[in-house]
Amino acid sequence: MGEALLDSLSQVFQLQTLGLMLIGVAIGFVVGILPGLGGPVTLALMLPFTFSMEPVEVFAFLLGMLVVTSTTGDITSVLFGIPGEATSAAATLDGYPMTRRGEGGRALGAVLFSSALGSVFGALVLAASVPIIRPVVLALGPPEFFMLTVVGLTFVVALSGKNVVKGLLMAAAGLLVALIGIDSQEGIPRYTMDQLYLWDGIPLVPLVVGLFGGAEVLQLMLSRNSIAGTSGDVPKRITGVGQGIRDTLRHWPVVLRSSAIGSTIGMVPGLGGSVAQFIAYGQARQASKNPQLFGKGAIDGVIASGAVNNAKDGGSLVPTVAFGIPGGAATAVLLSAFLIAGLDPGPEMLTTELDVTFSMVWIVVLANFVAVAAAFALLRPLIRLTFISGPLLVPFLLLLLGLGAYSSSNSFADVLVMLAAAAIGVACIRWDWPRVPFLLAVVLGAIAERYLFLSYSLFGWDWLLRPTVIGLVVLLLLVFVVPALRRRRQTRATTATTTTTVDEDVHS
Amino acid sequence: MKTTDTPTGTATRPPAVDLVLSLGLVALFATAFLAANEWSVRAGLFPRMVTGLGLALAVLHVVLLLVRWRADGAAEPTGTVEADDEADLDVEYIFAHAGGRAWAAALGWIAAFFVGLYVLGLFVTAPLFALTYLRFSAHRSWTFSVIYAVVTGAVLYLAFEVALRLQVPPGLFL
Repeated sequence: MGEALLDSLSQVFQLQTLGLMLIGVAIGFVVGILPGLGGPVTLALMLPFTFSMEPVEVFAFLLGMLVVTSTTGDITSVLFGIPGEATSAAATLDGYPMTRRGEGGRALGAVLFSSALGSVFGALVLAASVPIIRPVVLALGPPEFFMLTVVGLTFVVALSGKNVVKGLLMAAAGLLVALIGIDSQEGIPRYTMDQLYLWDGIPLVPLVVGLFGGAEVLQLMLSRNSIAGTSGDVPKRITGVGQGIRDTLRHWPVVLRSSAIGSTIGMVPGLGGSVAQFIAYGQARQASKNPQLFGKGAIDGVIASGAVNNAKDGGSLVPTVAFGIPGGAATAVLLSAFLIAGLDPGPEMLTTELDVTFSMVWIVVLANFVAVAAAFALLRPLIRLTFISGPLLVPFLLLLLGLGAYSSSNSFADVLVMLAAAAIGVACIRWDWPRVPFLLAVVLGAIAERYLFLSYSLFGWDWLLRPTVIGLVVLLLLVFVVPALRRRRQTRATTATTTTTVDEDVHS
Repeated sequence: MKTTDTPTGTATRPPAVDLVLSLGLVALFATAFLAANEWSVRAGLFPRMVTGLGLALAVLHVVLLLVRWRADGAAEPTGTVEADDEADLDVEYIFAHAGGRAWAAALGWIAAFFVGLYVLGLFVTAPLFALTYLRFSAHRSWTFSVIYAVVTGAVLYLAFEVALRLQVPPGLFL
């Protein structure tokens, strides 16, 4: 294992890999600062550029980009009160009040440095989980992996909190899309509608690019604002960064606790950074000596927001790598990159491809430190990017959509797939149907069918009686039953409160 | 962060869009299920499971929508926001509140770009689209639009034709 760790480090430090990581970091930096352009969208748009890369290079480029968006998303949260990413929202609560009272530099120093420390924590969790998870993963067979795929998919749907039936329907639709093409068992064309193009199945890259990128371009065309909208001007002076760094070191327990929360919640599919940030913020407030300052510019609130944001990235990679179950939108797109790079998440990533897994650890740490150093050095000029007008990006982003789709197999049919996926993505957002379960199901469909076929071939239907499978079925049921019971209890409590209030009003 | 204007408990209109989408899914899964029944067990087992489940869920969703609508006039329960789709709320707001003219214009520009890509190819469409879009939709000056278009064309040509030698959409005339 130590050999793989060192081997992966030497691979990351190859000139080409390092160069690609720096390009990824630069893109992630800009994307993180620009509110509206999210990590998953950019990841999707950049997927086509990874076709000719080696696996470690793919992750240096994509992962480098993704983890940095979390770091730099905090910058606009602190300076303008506008989160660069959805996962940076908690940083606005105390960061922006600090900026308004002239302590923007201190808040930035704290949020960026705690981000860097959080990323190290998350990376350590990823590295430490390998020896723990490896024997578990290697002990599992096709039936367990099939059930894990189903459980992962339902976790994302059920824990997301939105309409569960809609989520499940989208997942079923995604699985249906994954079925299109020649069947690998008997060579029967399935749902190909006599179109030769569909024999190879729906290509993943145009689908991902359209599903996430299409809606983004359309909203820029419709809103026509500068990306930062009508936020205030760039602060004249940004000072006190060093004090923010010292504050972070002084509040090391907050960093540790928030990082632990981030990496733990990051591991649970369906929860993700948006939930983790507020839990970490809440615990920082509970543990603080000055809880009354929270929401008015508490430095420990800023530190908690920064640390949790980046620790969750390392955590979310654990189930993605070990079981092929991504935690959210960004890791779902990243899972597509695994398949494009010819990697199979699961046992392979913990044995023959262990160096690729460990390279992710190094990339998370390195990319964050490069981003934080660059943020401290180039803060003011980079903030000006926020004021770029949205329509100026439209021709460039449309080009990326068209080229990204076409380069999948140099066929214009791929562009049509991308446009269809974009229409689905826009419809999903407009009428509130979740996109992530659909994408996840498309990605996991072929894997699930392979494990099901293997289970049936090896054990008949007896595989359903294996203890781990039964345990996972119980877990599956709990995933639906527990939130349903909780919702019912909440509804009852709300009804009781309303009735009491109405009664009091009537009596008074 | 804006909030969605999802219909609340006081709404009395039927959830038309969700109903249409769900009925469409019922038809889709039913057709796919029938097709899967014609295949052997090995090729059809997973498709039957998926489409059968999809059909049951789609029917359930239609029933739930109708029951909720008749029960209290609510079109859809409002749950907590999906963790990683939180950013969608702003986009959803824009989609819901952009006027018909803005939608028509945006879709028109997108259609023009992709038809141009198919007919004229990348190296003609990209600068031409940048020039016309920036001048007539973004209302930028001619000078700015021409410079943007020329730079776009030059960068694309140098990057994809000279440096990377990647195949790009050639258009119908090449």
